[in-house]
Amino acid sequence: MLRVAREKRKTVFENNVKAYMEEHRLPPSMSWVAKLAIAWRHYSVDIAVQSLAIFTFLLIFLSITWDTSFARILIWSLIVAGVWGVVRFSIRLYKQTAMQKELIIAKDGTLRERSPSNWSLIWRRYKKNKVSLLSGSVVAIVTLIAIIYPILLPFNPVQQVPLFDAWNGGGSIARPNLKYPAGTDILGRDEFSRVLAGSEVSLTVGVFSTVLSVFIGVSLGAIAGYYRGWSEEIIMRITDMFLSLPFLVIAILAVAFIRRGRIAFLKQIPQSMVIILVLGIFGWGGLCRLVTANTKQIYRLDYVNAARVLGASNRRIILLHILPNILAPIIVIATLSVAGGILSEAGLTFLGLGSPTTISWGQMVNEAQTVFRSNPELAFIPGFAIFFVVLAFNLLGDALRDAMDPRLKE
Amino acid sequence: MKAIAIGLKVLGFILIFTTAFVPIYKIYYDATPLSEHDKYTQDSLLISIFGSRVEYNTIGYDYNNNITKVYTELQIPSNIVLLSAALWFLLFFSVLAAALGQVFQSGGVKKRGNMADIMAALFLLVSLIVLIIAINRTLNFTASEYKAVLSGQTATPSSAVTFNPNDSNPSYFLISLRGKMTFMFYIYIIGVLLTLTGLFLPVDWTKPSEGTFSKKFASSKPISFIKQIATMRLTIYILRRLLTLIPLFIAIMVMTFVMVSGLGDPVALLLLGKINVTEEDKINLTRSLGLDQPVYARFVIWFYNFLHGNMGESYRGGRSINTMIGELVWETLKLQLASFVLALLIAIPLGVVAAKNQNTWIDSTASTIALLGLSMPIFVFGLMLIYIFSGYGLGWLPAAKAHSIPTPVVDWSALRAGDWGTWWSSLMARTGDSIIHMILPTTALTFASLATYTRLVRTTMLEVLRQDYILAARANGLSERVITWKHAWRNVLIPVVTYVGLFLASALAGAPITETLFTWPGLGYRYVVAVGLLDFPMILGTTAILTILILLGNLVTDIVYVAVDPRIEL
Repeated sequence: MLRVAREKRKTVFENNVKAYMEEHRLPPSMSWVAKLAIAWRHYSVDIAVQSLAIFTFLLIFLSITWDTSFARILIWSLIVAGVWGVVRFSIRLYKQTAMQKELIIAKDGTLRERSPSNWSLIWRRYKKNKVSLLSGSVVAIVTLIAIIYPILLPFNPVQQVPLFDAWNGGGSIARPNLKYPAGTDILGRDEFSRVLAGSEVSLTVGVFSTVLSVFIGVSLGAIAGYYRGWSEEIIMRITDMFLSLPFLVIAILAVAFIRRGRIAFLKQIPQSMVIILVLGIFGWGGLCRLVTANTKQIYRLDYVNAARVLGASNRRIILLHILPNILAPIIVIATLSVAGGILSEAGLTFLGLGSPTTISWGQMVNEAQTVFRSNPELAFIPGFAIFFVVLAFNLLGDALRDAMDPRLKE
Repeated sequence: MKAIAIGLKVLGFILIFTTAFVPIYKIYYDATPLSEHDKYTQDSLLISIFGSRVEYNTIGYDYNNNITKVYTELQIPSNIVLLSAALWFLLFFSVLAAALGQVFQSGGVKKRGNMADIMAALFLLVSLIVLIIAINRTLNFTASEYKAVLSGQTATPSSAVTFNPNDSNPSYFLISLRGKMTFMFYIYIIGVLLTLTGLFLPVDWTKPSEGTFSKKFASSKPISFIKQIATMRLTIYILRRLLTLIPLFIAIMVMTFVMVSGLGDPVALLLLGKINVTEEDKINLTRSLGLDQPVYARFVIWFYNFLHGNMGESYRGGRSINTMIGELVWETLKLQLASFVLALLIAIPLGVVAAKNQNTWIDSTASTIALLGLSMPIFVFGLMLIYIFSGYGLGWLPAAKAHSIPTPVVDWSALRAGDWGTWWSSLMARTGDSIIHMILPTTALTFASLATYTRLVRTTMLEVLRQDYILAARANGLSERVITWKHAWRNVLIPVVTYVGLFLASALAGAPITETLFTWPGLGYRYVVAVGLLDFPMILGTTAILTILILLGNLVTDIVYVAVDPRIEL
């Protein structure tokens, strides 16, 4: 198997070399030029050289400019060069595979473009929209920051190191300066580090509460829409109940109940997990209704009947035939509900329901209210961080909706 | 036979229905202080009568045959309050079931009618059995009188138990409890019996009526009118929705109650900072707040009181929750309604104009405003407003509270003398003051809700403009203004009217954040404060009122939806 693949690669390489020689009208004696040129691209040597160049440049540049240990410089240069190489290589790989997918050999031997699948159509529509690309990249960057923020932090966000640095722009409530780009908060912690670190909680809460609510909503909705009868009646009544809850009021109560309640084992749940649970458990009503309606619609279609006639089990029909066909609205609603989850988390922590040990944007706004007159930026920087992340997710949701269901756009 | 059955059922139903609004029995409290001499000479002294057990201090003999006080504990068969509350629950459901039976029967669906009859009969039977048990227990309970030792507590028939934790000298009271069946109890029994008889009469409902009287009666104007209304699909739909709302509300309140009761220990919080607090004081306070009961009992008692329009007293200050919420609801509604109206006034023209000029700069501007409003956390926008317009910046508008002028005291004697000027000027001053305070929070709320309305109006307008009748209107040469505001607008109105009810309900639930930011003395702010202070009745009352508002909003929305659009299947 492996040998076959190797030989196939070899023939591809030789074909490419031949094509190159024909293209450039090279004599057979100069085949080494063609081999080198093709190898440059074929074995991704160019990417390796680029990465190496970046690594060397960074190593020299950083060791001149950055006053730190050599190990750190080495690690940073390696990370940047490695990321560059991996990203370039994955883009190339994707392009190759995409081209292979798009092209098929017809019966008469000509190359034809495969009629595009639904997802590639969606991707094409998505690519055309500049706003959607922008919002998607903002979301990607914020997600990346939320994952790798520990290596970006200039200061520890929970330690009061800047408090004892009052001569160099630190202190208790310092205005923004070059050393502390967003100033320091009321306890003398670096605000910029805290804003960076707060992205973790916001993103985690937004994404995982959505995952939880999507899981509950989609499974209940699919069951209700597929099996009908009593199960639908019961699930719909429960959904009604969760939809008619005063959401924020109940969420405040639930967070207070878990955080400061009498039940000991609930108190041990970490803060962001509490909010994830509350938002996930109380936020699936709308999605459940949507999935039920869509499942009912698809249930009547012929291919579902055909699958049933062929003897497919109910589980198989739901998972393989129904769910993939209602995935588009689910993805859109999920993206929008990530934005809603971030907003709700910010609202709850703004009301003072957060734990003082967790770094959260809403809580930072809440704490900054006491020094609002002298340091308004302490409230506005995390506030606008929330705003921009939520805006990016909302834009992404809109773009996805436009791409997935173009009828809705008009 | 048929006429008799219907008549019996209707009569019994009316009787049961009347008793549902009057207490079936009454409990009299009678408390008189005991003298210093009495409290040792009385043979038995009751400590606790609340709950399912009785605690006595009796005079007895110890091992050395000396006379001492002995503490004894007796189990009461069941709690009187709990039983009566359970009874009320069942009454409620039996009345509902009976109503359901009547509705479906007049609807002409025979099978359903029979089913509902059977259900109603079962409910009534169960309630009757419970009633009989309750009578037995109540009579046992009221047969004897008890003497109570309640340290630091005073109980009178009219006022609630008050508590003074600093009072370390216990006072002793003779408390007698007497339960008495009222007249209504017998009416209830008669109603139940009549209904049961009517239900179990062997009547063939499929046969048409034969008697001339019944035919005349059925075709008489008021009866046929009632029949017509009762058989209308909308009536049945509304009744069905109402019936589903009740268990929904109960379920939500059960959930809330469980969470509230696990929120913490309000007794410890209330006694915080008090001096000379003994263990006895703690127990007494727990007892006077009713927290010694199990959760289910507390819920049943709370629900029983809630159905009778009593949400209890606040733990802080002891004011009635009814009056407190009555004051707060107005402040919240004032803010919400103002922002609602403003948002609609801006959103409707904006959405319509955006839809008319699709894919132009107007459309994209409107969409951008909508997106900004959707993405901006309301507290950040509010902080921005505060920073710019209040004392931090320009100093034009106040940033906190709803009023800076106290409510003017009406001087009746001056009014009678004809001095309306002072009254009028003070009223106007207060109104102006409250409007000035409203500006910033209203703006914040409007900006937040503007987005949803604009998007809704825009998408609906686009959908309507694509319809054939708009094309026909255009082809007939009507002007764009007429087409937009006469033909399209009326059809846009259907979903808009439908959804704004829902949005208003959800806006009400979102009140805590805005009100906390602007320290607005409304429902949401006080709710957050109450959660912090563990003021259980306040939390429960606020949640209940908000839930009812949202449920009613949903109901009205559904009804309007169905009434406006006849294509919806019920």
